Amino acid sequence: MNCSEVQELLSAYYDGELADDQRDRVSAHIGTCTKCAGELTGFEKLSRMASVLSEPVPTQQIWSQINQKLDEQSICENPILKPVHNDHRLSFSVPKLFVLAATILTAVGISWFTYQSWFTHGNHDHFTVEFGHYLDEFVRDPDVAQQILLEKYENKLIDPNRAVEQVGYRPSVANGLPAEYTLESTHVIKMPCCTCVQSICKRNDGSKLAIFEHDDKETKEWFGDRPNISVYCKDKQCCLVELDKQIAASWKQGSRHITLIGVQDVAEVNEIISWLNEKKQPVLN
Amino acid sequence: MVRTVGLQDAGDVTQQVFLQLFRKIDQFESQSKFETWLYRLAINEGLQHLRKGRRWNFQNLSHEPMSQHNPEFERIDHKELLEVALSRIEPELLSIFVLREVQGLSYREIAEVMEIPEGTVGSRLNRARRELQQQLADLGWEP
Repeated sequence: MNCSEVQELLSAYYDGELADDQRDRVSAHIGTCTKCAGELTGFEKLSRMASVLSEPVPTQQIWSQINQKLDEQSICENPILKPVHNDHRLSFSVPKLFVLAATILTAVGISWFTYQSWFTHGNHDHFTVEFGHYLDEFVRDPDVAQQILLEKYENKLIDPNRAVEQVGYRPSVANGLPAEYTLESTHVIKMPCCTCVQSICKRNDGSKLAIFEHDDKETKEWFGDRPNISVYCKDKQCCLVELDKQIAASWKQGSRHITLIGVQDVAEVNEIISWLNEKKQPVLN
Repeated sequence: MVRTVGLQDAGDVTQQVFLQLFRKIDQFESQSKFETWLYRLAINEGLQHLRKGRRWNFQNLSHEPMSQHNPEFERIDHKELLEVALSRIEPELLSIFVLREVQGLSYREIAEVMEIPEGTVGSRLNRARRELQQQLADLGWEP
C-alpha cells in the first residue's frame, strides 16, 4: 500500500471501521511511514480536543417555548420564524454556523423526552387531511378541487352583495375585484373550523385563485405541516404556505381573516392587499 | 458573547427541530432507530437554517493567539479554538465530525443519518479532520 491509498483510508482505520485485512495492510504501512503516522497522531490529538465539547443542557426556556407552540397547534398563529419586512422575497435572520453543532447536541440529548411527549400531543386533525386534499387538487385542477370542497361541506351559492344575510358581514369581494380578475362564484361554506365566504376568481390568463374570508378564527389546521413562513406583505403580517408551484397566503384584514389559495407569488399577495387597503371600488365583472 | 448568540440560535433551531418532530412523527418508520431519525431531523434543520443565511459569520476569538511564545496563548481555551475552527469548515463536514467524535456514531449510522453511502463517510471524515487541522493551525494551534 502506498501513502495515497493509506491516506484515503486513514479515518476509517483510525475509527476501527476497516476489515481485518485492510486494517493490517494500513497498519504495516504506518509502521514504516513517518508522514502517515504523523497524520494519524494529528487525528488522535483532534479527538482529544473534541472530547472537551460538552452537550449543552436545554434550557427551561426552550421547553416552555416548545410547549407554548404545541399548545397553539398552529405555526401560522404565532410564527416560529421571525418575520422580516420584505415585499418580494422571503428571507430570514442571518444564522451562525456554530449553531449546527449545538443544535445536534441539544436536540439529540433530549430525544427521550420528545418521544414520550408526542403521545400526549397527538396533532393529526381530520380536517387538516381533508383540506389538504383540496389544496393538492387546487394546484392540479381548481375546478375539481372546488367540487371536492363543496361535496364535503355544507354550502350555499350566494350573491356577494347579499352575503351579509348569511354571515353577518359584507365580504371584500362584494366591492369588486382588482381589474385583472373576474369573479366566477361565491359560496358560503360551513367548514369544521369556521364558516367562510369563498370566492373563485379567474385571472386574465384563465388560471384561478380562491379567496376565503372568515371571521376572527385563524387558519388553524388548514395547512398542517406544510412549509410556511411569516413575512410582511405591505403592512400585513402574512403566513405564506408553500404549495406545489403555488403558495397560499393568510392574514388578518380588519376584524376578519383573508386566505388566498393558488397564489402565484408574493407580488400577487402584495397587490391584493394593496387593493383591499385602498378599498377600491372597481366594477364587478 | 458570540458564543451566547450562537447558543441562542441553537435554541431557536432546536425548537424548530422538535416542532417538526411532532408534526412528522407519523413518517417515522421503525426500519431505523428513533435516535437515528431524530439525528437526521436535527441535521436537516440545522443545515437548512445555515443555508438560508447569506454568508457565514465567523466566530471571533476572545483572545488573539500571537505565537506559541506568547504566554497568553497558553491560556487560550482549546475548546474555544476548536469551536472557532468548526465554525470555519463546511456545515456538512462539521455535521459528520460531530456525529463521529462527539456522538460516537458508527459509519453505518452516520451514513443513515446523512443519507450518504457508507463508503463516503470515511472520505468525508478525512476532509473534515484535515480541514479542521488546517483551521486550527491558522489559529496558531500546533498539534
